[in-house]
Amino acid sequence: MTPPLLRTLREGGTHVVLVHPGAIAPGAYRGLADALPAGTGLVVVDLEQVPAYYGAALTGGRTDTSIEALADVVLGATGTPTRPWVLAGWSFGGVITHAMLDRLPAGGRPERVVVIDALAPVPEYTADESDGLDRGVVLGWFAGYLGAKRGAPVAVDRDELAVLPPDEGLARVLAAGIAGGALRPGTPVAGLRKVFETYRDGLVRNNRLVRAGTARPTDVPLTLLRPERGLVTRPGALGWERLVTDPTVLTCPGDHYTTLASDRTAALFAATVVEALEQAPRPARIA
Amino acid sequence: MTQSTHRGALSVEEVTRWLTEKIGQRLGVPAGTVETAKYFDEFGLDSTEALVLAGELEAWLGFELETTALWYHPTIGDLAVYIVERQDAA
Repeated sequence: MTPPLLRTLREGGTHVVLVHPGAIAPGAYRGLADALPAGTGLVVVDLEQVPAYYGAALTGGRTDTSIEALADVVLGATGTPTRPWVLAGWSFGGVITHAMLDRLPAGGRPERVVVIDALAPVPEYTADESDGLDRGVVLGWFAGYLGAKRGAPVAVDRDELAVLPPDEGLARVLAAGIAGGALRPGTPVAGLRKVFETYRDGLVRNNRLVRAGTARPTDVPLTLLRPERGLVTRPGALGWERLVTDPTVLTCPGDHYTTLASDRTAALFAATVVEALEQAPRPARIA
Repeated sequence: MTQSTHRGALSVEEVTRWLTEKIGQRLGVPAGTVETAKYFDEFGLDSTEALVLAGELEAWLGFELETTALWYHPTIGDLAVYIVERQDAA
């Protein structure tokens, strides 16, 4: 049976719509959902169930979809939620949330956007096709991904991986993956290389999608939850300051993946959502 | 672990044997008991394990296989036929 595009992690409605870019299971947001107050619903839209998106990671990152088309898929699945509501996205899901804002009716836009370790769709945070993605850096991300995907630690030093020759770095991830139980003993490096290349092609796809789009500034406020060991080390708001006035940046524990399982991240997420929902303007009473 | 690349033309039977051995190893069962008409996901291989198998297979074949090959040819029997056809077409 094909997994659903829309998945309810917290009953109660669409108070929070969270855009999931795939790679790991949507259940990774369980902690965030459980931290919300009773009656505050959360649904996850799983982009991995969109063939034009998922398939691009299997074909070298070539894609014929667009950020706008993916935004339409999400809105097609959720409809326009009833206000007040919050739009959220982790990683590339954050990029899709931004595209959705332009496609919502003015009266139906969310009170706030919450992104978790998402790089803004601006040139400073988008790899050029010619430069590609730094293999050493991506290998560090890959180790985190593998650990999250397999539910077992892949203990590597990301700084060290970034400077090792590619094959040596992959062998280091392989050894750590086997030692931590994320990979079966005897897994050959050729097998792990295929997993790595597919992961990297997913990033290539995302970069191509961002380069093909044009992100416009918005007046919907944004909070960025930024893990201490996130995707990049550059300080600031990961480019969101180019699209949103005074984005709020909250630091949370962990890396790009492990932060989703952190109680502290969940508490920050829930507090941000609650505040946004409570501060929403109430409908005018008709005398 | 090093990979030895197959030399010479492959037959459907050889590819089938390689695949049943590898899947048998993963399942901890004799290769002869691995059904060649069963879907890969029915063996309990998740997407990561399927990619590991595809990478290992490429190393043995000595040529690159599309990542989608295991999705479009989802049984050992189908995949073995496809690989031999691709080899013949090259």
